[in-house]
Order: sequence, then structure tokens, then C-alpha cells
Amino acid sequence: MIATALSWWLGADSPFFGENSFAITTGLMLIAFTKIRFVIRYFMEVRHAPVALRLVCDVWVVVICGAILTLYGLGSPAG
Amino acid sequence: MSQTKNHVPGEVGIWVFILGDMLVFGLFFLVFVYYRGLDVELYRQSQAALNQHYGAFNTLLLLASSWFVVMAVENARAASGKQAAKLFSLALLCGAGFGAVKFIEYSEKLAAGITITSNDFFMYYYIFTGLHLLHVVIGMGVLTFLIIKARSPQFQASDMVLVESGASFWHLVDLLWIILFPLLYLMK
Repeated sequence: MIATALSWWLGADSPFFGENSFAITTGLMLIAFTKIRFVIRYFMEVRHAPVALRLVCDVWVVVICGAILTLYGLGSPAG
Repeated sequence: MSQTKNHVPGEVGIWVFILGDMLVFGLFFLVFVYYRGLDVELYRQSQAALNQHYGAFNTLLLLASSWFVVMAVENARAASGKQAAKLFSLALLCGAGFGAVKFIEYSEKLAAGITITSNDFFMYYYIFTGLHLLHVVIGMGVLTFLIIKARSPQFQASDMVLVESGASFWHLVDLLWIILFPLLYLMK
């Protein structure tokens, strides 16, 4: 809930990062994927699952988050 | 919590579906970010037409619903079927709230003349949120089934596989929205 409020604040033209789009978007994505890992491990109970399932989920989180930030960085105009 | 290591939560089949869905939506997210990079201004201007408050409120609704489902599963494990049914009902209510907000949001967009053909941003907006809404509707059907199951006097430990499968699917619905919200509504 707190993480969602933080995302909301970051996305709603927060004065903290000013016009630094890259910092804001990176922050938003890192918050989102941290929440997702929490949902997967604790809500979906994957922390108790066999290592293969835990590994597949963690790889998905890292690869998709990393690829989103990489593609965003490549396509984003400076600032 | 009576879970031990190496326990797959629910049917293996539901996890094949969940992981497949995560893969497909993961590719959707990458396609969106790639094409956004080709026309950042258009995407920024279009995003400004979205109501962030609706998106954030829906995020909170799905998070709350996930929390109710977690507690419902714990109650079902403790053989407290009636309490589990109540908690699943609260989750279902949150799902209905999500659908209602989405209906209002779509209505406002359509009334403003914003449709799936308006531009690339709105094409992705309608496709991604529409597919996600389909997941919400299916998830609500699953929750209704779990409510009936949990209320049944014949509810027993062997039904936990069904409960865990349904719960995992509902958490997937929450998980996908956790990325869709910043991706469509907030990304700068």
C-alpha cells in the first residue's frame, strides 16, 4: 500500500526528482518489481515451492524489469 | 502457516498457465516500452489524458483483494471454511469495484472520443487493460467457485489444491496490474 502511494506520488509530477524522467521511471519500475517479487514469494507462496519454480519466477522478475529499463533508456530522450 | 518446502501452491497445470501468462504479458510490456521509445512525445501526451487516480485506486483494490485471499487460504487450511468464504467474498467485492472503476474510466474515454484507433498509445491501453479486465472477470468466477466450495459442509483438506490454484490465479491478476499501472499511467 505504501509502495503504491509512493508510485502515485512519483508519477504525479513530484518535485523531488523534478524533470528527471529517467530517475522517476527507474524508481517506479524498481518499486513495481519489488512489489511483484513480494506478491510471488509471499502471497503466491512460491517461497515454499521447489527451487525450479522459485528460480523461474526470479528470472522473470529480473529479465523483464531489466529489459524494460534497458529499452526505456535506449528510447528515452535525455532528461 | 503450515507450509513446508517443495510444496507447489495448487495444481501444477495452473502454474503452467500462470507462467505462460507472465511470459506473454512480459512480452507485451517490452513491446510497449520499445514503441514508446520511437515516439515519446505522443505517448506522454496521450498518457496525460488518463486519470491516475482511477489507476491508483484500482491498484489498492487489487492489493486489498490479494490480502483477503491470503487470509482466506489460511482460514481454509485451518478448516475454517465459513470464515474463508467471507474473506473470498470481500476479495470478490474488491474485484467488482475494480470492474466498476474500469467501466467508468472506459466510459469517460469513449465519451471524449478516445478509442482503440485514436493512436498507438490508446491501442495498447485498450488491449492491455481489456485483456487484464478479462482476467479479473475470470478471477471473479474462480472466487465465486471458491466461496461455494468453502461454504460447503463437505469442504475438506483435499480441496486445498483447488483453493491454492484459484488463489494463485487471483494473485496473478494483482501482479499484472502492479506493472500495468506504472507502465501506462505513470511512466515519464
